[in-house]
Amino acid sequence: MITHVMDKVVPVRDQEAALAFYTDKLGFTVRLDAAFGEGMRWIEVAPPNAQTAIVLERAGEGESRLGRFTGIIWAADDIHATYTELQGRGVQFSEVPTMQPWGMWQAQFADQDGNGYVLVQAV
Amino acid sequence: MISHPSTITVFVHDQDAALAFYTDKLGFEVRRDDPFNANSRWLEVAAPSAQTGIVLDNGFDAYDESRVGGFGRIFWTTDDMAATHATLSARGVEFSQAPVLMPWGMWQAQFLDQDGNSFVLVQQVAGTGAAGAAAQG
Repeated sequence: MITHVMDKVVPVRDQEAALAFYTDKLGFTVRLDAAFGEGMRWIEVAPPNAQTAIVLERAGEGESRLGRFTGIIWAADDIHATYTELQGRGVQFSEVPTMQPWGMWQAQFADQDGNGYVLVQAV
Repeated sequence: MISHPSTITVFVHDQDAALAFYTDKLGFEVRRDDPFNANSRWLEVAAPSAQTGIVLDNGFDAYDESRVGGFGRIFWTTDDMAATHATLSARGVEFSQAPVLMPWGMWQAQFLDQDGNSFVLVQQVAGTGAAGAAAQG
């Protein structure tokens, strides 16, 4: 049977810059950083204890997904502390933590290329 | 701190058809099915023990018809590729690639959902996987 999502791919302009953002600013760990095919590099990062990782893929010419909502909603154990911490490291938030009508805290931020994420905390 | 991806979105044309596919054919469980807005309900499914769910979206802010279909950019993992391929095929899941052993030591297959969203399915082989891929480099 299918057990879980192993990876979700996120397109980035510059893999080095992305690696710095996801590790230094978001605090993710590198699961894999290996040469892959002709001049390609497979970089997989994830929050320290997460089952699912994201792959930082160098965006091809005209990649339409770059700089849009990634479709990923991250969970935080403490959204206020996480917001303060990430903002302090220079992460750009387009929505500060706000209580939603459906009873969850929600914020929104972007990575170094404007790829959008939602951050939630269940109450 | 950020703990894990709570959900990942997959864009679909029809939530009922998607729900049937992901539960009946893939064997996923429904984690949430609530009214959300006029266009779409919040429909979240997941592999039974998975930390991260999938939101089957056809009407939130980021919804875009052009994002339905094509490579969903999600890699699923399985504990037994041969059995999963056999089971899903028997239920009518279309595989665009049958399981093959990749040079970096993982089994890989590709399948499609009801809207042509394409996914990669992998199985790590003991002693290879990440280490094997790194060794390739």
